[in-house]
Amino acid sequence: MQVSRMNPPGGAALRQTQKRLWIALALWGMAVLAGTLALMSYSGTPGPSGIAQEHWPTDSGLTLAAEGISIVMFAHPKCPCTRSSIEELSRLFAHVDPGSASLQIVFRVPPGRNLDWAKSGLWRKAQEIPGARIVFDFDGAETRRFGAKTSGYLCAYDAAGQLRFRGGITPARNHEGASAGGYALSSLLTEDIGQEMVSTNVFGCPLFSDDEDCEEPHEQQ
Amino acid sequence: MSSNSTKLMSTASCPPGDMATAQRADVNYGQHLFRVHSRADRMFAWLFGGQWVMGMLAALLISPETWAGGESSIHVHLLAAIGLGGVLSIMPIILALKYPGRLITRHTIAVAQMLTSALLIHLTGGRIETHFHVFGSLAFLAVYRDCRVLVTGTVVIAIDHLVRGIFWPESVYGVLTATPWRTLEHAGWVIFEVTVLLYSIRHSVQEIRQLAIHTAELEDTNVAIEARAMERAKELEHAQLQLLHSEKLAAVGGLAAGIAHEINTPTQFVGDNVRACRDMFSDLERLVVGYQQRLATLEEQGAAIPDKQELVELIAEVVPDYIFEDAPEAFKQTLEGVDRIRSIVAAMKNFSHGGSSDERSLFNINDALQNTLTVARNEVKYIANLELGLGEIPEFNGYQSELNQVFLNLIVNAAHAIADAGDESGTIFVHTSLVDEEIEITITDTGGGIPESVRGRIFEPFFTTKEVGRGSGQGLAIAHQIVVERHGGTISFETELGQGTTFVIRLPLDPSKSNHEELEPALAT
Repeated sequence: MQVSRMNPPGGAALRQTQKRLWIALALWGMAVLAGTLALMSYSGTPGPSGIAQEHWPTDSGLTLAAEGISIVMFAHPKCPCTRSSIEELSRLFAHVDPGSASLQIVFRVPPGRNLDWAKSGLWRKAQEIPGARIVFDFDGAETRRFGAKTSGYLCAYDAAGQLRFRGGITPARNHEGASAGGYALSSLLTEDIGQEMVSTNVFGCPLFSDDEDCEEPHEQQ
Repeated sequence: MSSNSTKLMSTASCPPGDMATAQRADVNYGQHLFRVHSRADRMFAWLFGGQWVMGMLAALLISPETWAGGESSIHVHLLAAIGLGGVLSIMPIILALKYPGRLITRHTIAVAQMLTSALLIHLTGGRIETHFHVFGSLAFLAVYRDCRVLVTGTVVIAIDHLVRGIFWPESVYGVLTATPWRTLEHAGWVIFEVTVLLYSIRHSVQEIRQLAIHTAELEDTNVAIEARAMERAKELEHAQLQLLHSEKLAAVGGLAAGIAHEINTPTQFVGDNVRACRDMFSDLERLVVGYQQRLATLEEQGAAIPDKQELVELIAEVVPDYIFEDAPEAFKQTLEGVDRIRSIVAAMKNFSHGGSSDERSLFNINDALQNTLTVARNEVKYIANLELGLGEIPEFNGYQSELNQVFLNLIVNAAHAIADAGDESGTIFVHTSLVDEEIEITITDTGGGIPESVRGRIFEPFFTTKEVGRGSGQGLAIAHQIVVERHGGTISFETELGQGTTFVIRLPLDPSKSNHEELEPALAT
């Protein structure tokens, strides 16, 4: 069998080659490090949390459950990062007594987009959650009403209409797994001991484009 | 950046025989590892390419776009898959293709592969399934059969887990908080796998080492066999030529025997006729002398002799005075010549047909030697002097023609040895004597002696130091066979470089006291 051979350069040429190679490796290492840090920074950078109503808005078309916790999640139909939030929500509701909580998922449909566009994979995933009510918010009124700005934003109210939780339930963009929001919501649903309202970061796509006005036209808190 | 492989490459072109076996085993070992490393480098080049493409496909499938309301743009993950994945993959691919087999290449590949695992774990939020990428990568790195590479990979992934476990545990373990035990637990599994892999690598490397040693030994054997085969081929070629020469000599010998027989008869009657002529000439001389004396007497008596003058002139013309002085000598020399021819022919006949090869016969070894010397005279007379010391020995019961052959071979060898030594005053001594019921024949030459390197082989069949046509390489082998096996005797030699050689043949008078044991030559130094 023929052995492929390289001809090692000798003397100064060898040192020069080695020097260039080490420089290239150093640059490569820095590029990899910079890219990794940038990616981590992006993953760990939350979107705008929004400001939810402290009390359930009475003009909302959504339903406040008479008992238990009412959870509303706002999602962009095409946001890939929100898939993690839906997964986390699905995992959470698999262990929740149906009577202790209700879930409504509001898909905010941007202007110019129709229902077919909005019925995405994320929507199909959301439908698989037992007891979940899916709502399409075409004009964005409900989304604005609850102060949601980022897909994956979730707020939870008790039966009295008091806000108990707001924010995201994923640790980073497109990341499933344990998160502060997930723990808080889980605690609220399983062992509600009347803790203070918890607010966490939300990781997802903006629900409104820069051209749109995402602020609630009426009173906000 | 030098590696063992590179160092060993410099001696890789040395053929077997130029290096010691251990050195070539080292070279074989280095070449084998170099091939293993190069092959693994190429495998990782493909793997990195594949991982890069798979990463891009996964990003394209899972998160191609990011949205802001109704507006979309390329997702950062897709850009990262293209950009960061490309940067991460391109350096190991370049090194694998440009510098395969080098230590720096496989260490860079180890670092890059483990960073790929770390990135994958991060992107999946620490999904436990993606941790298998680490174990798979370590198994792939084990293909290098280089423990150092596994150590590098292990250190990289350990640092990654440790740092992220402290600062961002959910990106590596998928939990909000992770105790140091979590890192240790992960490290433990990695160390478990690495330990098994290191054990496997160690044995694999030992096997490669053994293989290299065996290969070097096999190369040695092949070289030895090839050399032996070439030597045998040369010997065979030489033997073939000698055989042809021997057959030619045998044919010539047979022809010579026939010619000797044919010469014998005319020589016989030439001799007889010359003798008859000599006698008739003697009568003629007596007649002429008597006639001349009668003429003189008649002249003294005054008797008239008719045509006297014509008669005297006729006698003077036909039978000149000197003829009676020269003719007897001429007849004598002619008869001597004829006798010599007859003795040579008789010697040749005796030499050729001196007894049957199948039956022993009584004969005198001194006579046999004389005959042989007569036959070999032409071979010897221009080269060396002969000195005979033939003692009183009894008749010997043996195979005469075979022993003639032995004597002829030894005498011709002696003549050749003297000729090769360039000694113009060389001498061949032939002695016979009776020693302890054995006839001892010694044939000594004053040639150059037998070199020490060939002394042990001179009785081997077809071994000769002479050129083709001059020696068959069988003379001494045949002599040995005839003396030892056919007559139960011994043949040995004493030699001294620059001084000459003495061959000693001892033939037992009583065959029952034969000595079949081959005696070691008594070497003189």
